[in-house]
Amino acid sequence: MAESFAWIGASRQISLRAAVGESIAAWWGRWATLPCALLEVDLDELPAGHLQVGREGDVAVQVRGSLAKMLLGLEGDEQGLPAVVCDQAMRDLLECLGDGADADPSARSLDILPARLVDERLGACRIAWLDTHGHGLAICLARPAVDRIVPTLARTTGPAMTTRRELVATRAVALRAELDLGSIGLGELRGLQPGDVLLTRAPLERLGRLIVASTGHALAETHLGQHQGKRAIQLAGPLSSESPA
Amino acid sequence: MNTLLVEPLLLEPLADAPDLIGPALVTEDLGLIGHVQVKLTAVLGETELSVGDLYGLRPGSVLTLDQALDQAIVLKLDGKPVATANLVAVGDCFGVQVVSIL
Repeated sequence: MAESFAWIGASRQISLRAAVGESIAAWWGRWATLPCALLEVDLDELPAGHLQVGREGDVAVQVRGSLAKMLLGLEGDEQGLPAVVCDQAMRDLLECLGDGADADPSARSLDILPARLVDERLGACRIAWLDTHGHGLAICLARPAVDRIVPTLARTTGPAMTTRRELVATRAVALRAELDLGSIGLGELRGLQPGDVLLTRAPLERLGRLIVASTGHALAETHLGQHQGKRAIQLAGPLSSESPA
Repeated sequence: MNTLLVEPLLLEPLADAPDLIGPALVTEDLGLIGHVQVKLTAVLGETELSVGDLYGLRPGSVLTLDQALDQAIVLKLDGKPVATANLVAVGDCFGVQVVSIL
């Protein structure tokens, strides 16, 4: 078995290979009269063959050589009963890989693989096998099919290991308390010396603001007071729209 | 009927003279701009909280600042520290008594 999984992580590759491998083994058991003798191959070793695609276009099966030979050990063209069996087997294979299969073989037939089933950058991947007679099988999966077979962790519903709030809860934040004293004319500042008293028009009941020191973001309005010999503030509430910027 | 001729106004391009000489035309007299208002802010102090405690703040919560009651505050003019001062009451309004000019 060989696969091209450059776009997904190792653990997901393993899960996908195992899941598809199980499906193929079960399918083989339902349809083949011969024991399974598929070998892993590199994708380059499987030249283009007959293509069939599922109804949704998320899964394609590429057959090199004869499916009848692979499953039933029959030589020659697939006609009559072997052809019917192979057609049913192909539909079943598409079904068990999660894509519906059209009853009409011509509707499933495909000349060229679309990019969504080939391009790894779009999330496509391909898994291929060959038997000892050189007949081969490749499963081409588009991203939706892969996601159905092995859902990403992001789609699981288990609890997060830790919340964002828990992660940052112990980090320290510096806060600054400020009091807006209003506007003052530059003329009033002329010749200001230590000891001078500057009169403001800010009433004593004016509320201050609590600010995140690093960003200047204002958090709340405050009353100025004292606590244990130090200046202290008591939070009055959220900033009102009239609060000075 | 009188007719008015309306034409586009053509302005001459200007540039500083190569040698600026002579006394300054405007003296640095604060009286000229004394009416200009600037915003005065008092920095009362700082404190540090964990993010967890920050999210736990509610109206009524008290935060003790890092400054003693008698410690001078920093005055900011339009956000720039310019002086330290004591916060005082002058009638029903705040006043500031300058301690030092920064």
